[in-house]
Amino acid sequence: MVREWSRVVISLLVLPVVVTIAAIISSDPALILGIIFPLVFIAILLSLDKKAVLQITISQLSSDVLRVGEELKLEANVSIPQGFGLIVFRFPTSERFEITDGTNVHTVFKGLQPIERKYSYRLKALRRGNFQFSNIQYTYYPALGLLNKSEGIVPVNMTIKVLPNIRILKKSQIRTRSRYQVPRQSRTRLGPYSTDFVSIRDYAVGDPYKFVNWKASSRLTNQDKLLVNEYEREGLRTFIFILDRGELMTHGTGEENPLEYGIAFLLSYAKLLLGHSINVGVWIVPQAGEKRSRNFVLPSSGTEHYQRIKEMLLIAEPVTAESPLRLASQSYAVLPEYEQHEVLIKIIKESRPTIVIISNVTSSNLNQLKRFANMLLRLRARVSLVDVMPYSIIAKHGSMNTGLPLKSILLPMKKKEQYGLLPQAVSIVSWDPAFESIGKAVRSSLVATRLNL
Amino acid sequence: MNLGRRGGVERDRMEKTQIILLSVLISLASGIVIYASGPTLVSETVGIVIVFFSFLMGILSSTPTASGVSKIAWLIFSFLLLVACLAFGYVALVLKFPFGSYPLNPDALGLSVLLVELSIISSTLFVTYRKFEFDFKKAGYEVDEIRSELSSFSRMFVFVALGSVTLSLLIYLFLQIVPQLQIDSLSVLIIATIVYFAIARYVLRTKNRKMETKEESSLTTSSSPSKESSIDRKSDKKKKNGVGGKGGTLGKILGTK
Repeated sequence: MVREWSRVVISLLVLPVVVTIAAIISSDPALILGIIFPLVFIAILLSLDKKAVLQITISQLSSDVLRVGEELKLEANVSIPQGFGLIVFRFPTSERFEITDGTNVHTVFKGLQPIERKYSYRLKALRRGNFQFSNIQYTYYPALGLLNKSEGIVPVNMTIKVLPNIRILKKSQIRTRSRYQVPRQSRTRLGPYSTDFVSIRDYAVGDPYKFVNWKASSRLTNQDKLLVNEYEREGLRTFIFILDRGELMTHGTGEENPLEYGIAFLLSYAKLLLGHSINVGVWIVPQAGEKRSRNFVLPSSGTEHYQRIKEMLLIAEPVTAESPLRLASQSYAVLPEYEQHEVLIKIIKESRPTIVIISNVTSSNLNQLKRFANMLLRLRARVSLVDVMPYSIIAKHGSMNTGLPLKSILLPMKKKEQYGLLPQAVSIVSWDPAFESIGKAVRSSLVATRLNL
Repeated sequence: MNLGRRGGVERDRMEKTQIILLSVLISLASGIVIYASGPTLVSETVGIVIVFFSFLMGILSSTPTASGVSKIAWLIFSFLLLVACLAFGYVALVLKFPFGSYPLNPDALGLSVLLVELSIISSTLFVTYRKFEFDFKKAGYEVDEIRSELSSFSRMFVFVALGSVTLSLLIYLFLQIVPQLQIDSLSVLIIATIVYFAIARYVLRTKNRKMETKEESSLTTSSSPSKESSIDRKSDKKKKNGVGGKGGTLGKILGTK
């Protein structure tokens, strides 16, 4: 770009030289005109070539909490009092947002007059999450290319929260009658703590610090141990959701994949269960280097608890694989991480919950799922597996390269064979989110978990 | 959506067709000036050749690439200077060209050279306009906005060029009219050379400084896969080529470091 302008400058420098030579040879004084003009022209242009001074502000004209599919309106005010050249702006956006109206890139020619401009554009949220809108970028191309092309940023501190679109399920929509009679009241309850004291026992991982009985602990001769007060707990049955975040959950697009559908399913399901005073806990598969405590919400009930689950799932991102080796060893093998998870094991032992694993079952993770399900069954938990199948999503976006083995796409019947390899006590719900609604999937899962609401 | 678009922009827009038309008309005018300056075979032939080249420029501008437009303007310019060298002065005297004593009007030739220079500038502006329009369009910018801004840029450039022409003519007339300042052509050439060197040194020094700093900030690592980065890369290429920089031929001639 600047090369083009430099061509003008070079032309203006070459012209007088050539004319001067011709004037000397021809001794024609009128050719002086041809020498003066380029010099005057370049002198005027040089006097205009100044550094740009910009003032840019950006304002948000809609709420900073949106739902997926809702729009965000942004307005930028640009003021350029000094400079001579083209200025290119790039206003902030995010890859998880789609521009629906206007554009975030603009170009302005700054001439002799100061410039005041106002630009607005609309963005549509495509995916849940917390999105930090980064800086406004600009590039100034001075008209003659004599000054440096300068680039700059204007910091923007804007965070937009996009909530997932969940389905509020009514009782009438998911009325189920299981063939099995299972009491709603769990043998072991795991709701919020009441004030009814039960006993003093040894501290275990996951116990709230406020229950530590310091006096009793100090009386102990063995200083390594802590004692806690145990209180009676409220609540009915306990449901624990385990959400897989492995590579297989990302098949599809960034916005439409088993993970995104799994989160919407989980939130809708959790809201329904919490509405019936059932304790709900959520575990998401941890990413390498993540704190374990940030990846689970202990089982509890109430509307506040729903917010806790929602906040955690809002920022849940898939486990990224850096190399094929890592993909095989870690991304697919994330579930067995929980085989050693003390808190989870303790809760399973205490409450014998219904565990709903949300995953995408393929031959790659079948063995891990099988091992994990066996471990849960040994702990006497009820296990249900929701298999979020991405085939229809992939077919919908047919041209994309998902890296999925061809036979898995072409032969979904293989699923049956795969399910046969899992323990028989595991109830399996096969869900195709492109065709079946969340309500239908929840209903199937309720039947599978033998819960009568 | 641009809420702050100036109302008058659409009306006053200077499209690239207008720029090339201006360029063609100016070079045509230079041919006509030569043709009309004297009823000699040389002036008529030179005038007709320039007119022919001007039409050729117009035809080339309508081709998809329009690459040769500014080259034609340079060709007219070179042709005019060649004719000037052969028609007057030492070459004609030594080689005894059969052009006659006054084959061309010297004043008309001077004016013609000025017009062709103007044509060179406007044709370069046309090429620049096309290049920018193509690059920005490819980068996904709003076509209407780009055209509007490039029109403002072109208009400004043309106004500055016309102002320079006026000022140049005034300087020239001033030198011609005021008797006490009547300087011989050689002195004027010396003065012009000094002014030229002063400006050229300033321009090349600025260029050299630019090459040395090589600041190219890290901002080019933008997140979106916009084609704007390709524009940046082109400017980087320009830096490597070192237009008029340390290694440039012009720089060597002028002795800039």
